[in-house]
Amino acid sequence: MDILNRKLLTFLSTTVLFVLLLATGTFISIAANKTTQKQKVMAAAVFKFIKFVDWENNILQSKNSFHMCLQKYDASFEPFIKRKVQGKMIKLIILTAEKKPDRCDALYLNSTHPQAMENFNSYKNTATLTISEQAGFLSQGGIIELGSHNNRLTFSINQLMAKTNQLNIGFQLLSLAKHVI
Amino acid sequence: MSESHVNKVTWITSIFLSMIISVSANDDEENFLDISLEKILAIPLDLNAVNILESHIHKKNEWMVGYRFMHMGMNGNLSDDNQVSNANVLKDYMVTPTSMTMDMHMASLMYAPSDNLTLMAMMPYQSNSMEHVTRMGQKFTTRSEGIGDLKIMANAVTYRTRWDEHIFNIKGGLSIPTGSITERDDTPMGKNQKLPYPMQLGSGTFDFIPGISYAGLNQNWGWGAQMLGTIRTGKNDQHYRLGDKLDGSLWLSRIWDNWISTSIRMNGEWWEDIHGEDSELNRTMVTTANPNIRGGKRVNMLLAIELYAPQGGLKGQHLGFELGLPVYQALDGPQLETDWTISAGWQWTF
Repeated sequence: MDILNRKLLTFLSTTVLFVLLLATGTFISIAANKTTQKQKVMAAAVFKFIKFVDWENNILQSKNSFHMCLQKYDASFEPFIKRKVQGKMIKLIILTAEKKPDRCDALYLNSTHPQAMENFNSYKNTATLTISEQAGFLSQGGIIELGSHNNRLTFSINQLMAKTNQLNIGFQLLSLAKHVI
Repeated sequence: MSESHVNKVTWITSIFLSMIISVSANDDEENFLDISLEKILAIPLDLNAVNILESHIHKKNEWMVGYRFMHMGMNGNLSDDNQVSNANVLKDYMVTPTSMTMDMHMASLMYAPSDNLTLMAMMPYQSNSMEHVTRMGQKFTTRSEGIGDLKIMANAVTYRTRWDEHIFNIKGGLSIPTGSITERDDTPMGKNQKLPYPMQLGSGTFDFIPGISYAGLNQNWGWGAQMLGTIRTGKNDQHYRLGDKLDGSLWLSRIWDNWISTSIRMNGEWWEDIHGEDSELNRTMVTTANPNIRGGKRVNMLLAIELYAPQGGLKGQHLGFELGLPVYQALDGPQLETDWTISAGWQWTF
């Protein structure tokens, strides 16, 4: 009987410990706006992409801010709003069916929602740097396709599409890209 | 330095490091915005778990050094899944073990010559202590301490999806008999007596370790399964061979942030009786010297928390803590039952 009680006590204390671990994790997760290593790496890479691309004909010069459009909210992009790119403060815009700005200087399709392709088509032929994780994105007319190899981020570039959209891809990006077409 | 002092230092160091990692992980720098694109492309998207070393895959030319401390407590005897009192065991044997503790310090080194192949070497140092009682009621303790068997393994990726959401591996390894199988200690039966099988530090044989594993990952969750076998070969120079072993794990982890995750793991172990017999041991004296009651099966539930420093002065450092409890065990007994295990591990990838 003693053994049974001891086992029951051990089981109960383990369950309590596990619940506490989950509760702590949830609290930390909420406090940290729930971003994973992968999201932070992706956001940092997107930040570098927009820094190493030039928008031709001074397209951005007359604008007040740089429009960074996202298919869905991602807390790892929050630090962008304190940063400048091409001399302009970055403005984060989350696209919805009702809310589509006249221009997106960069568009990151961070969702596979059917609406993503519609959004992509809306900005595909404008001076927009389009970025997606979707396989085959370059062949659909996208400019930067993200991938991974051995647990690390990789990316490929469609330079022809970039030129069509009046974007100059910096050599820093071209030299680190896995594929350039 | 005494064993308990070493254990205390291990735990205090682990807690101290975890606090530093927690603080450093909250730094703004962890957003990675101010580091070069080359460095961003070198950051792992997901983290290798400290507690399942054999599942690790590393990037080409990446090294990892690690240390893990594990403590296991055993108390009371089981025969099949039934408790057996000391009095009952002592009807058939002169001596019965009543409890045992095992402390293991495991050093590991990994290197990836390519993205699809990771090589690893693991060397344990363990200390065992077993309490006994004789039919006459006399209590005594035996101890053994030293290096265990060196394990070398290769882990090869056989299939992976584009984002490494699903990775399948095969693995193969060899256990080299560097651990002693001639440990001795004083007992009431005489001075410098040969200790029974569970108190020896190695197998004494070259053992093959084949295995397969699968790991899945999405944004917030990781999961996986692994099967590892241990196939013993020949007989050691004490004329016996430990039983073959099968070890399977299923795990699910929640990735809360880029510096913290928690996981639950079910681990099943099945191992055979010993083949042959050490002629210096008397199988009727004590249960642990009887080679025919050494097998068993056990299912453990393990809960873990893992901390990682993605940036800052401790970049690449990884800490893990795991608590394990058996939820089912059936032993060819009478044999000591496991009550709990606890472990703390540190890794540094560079």
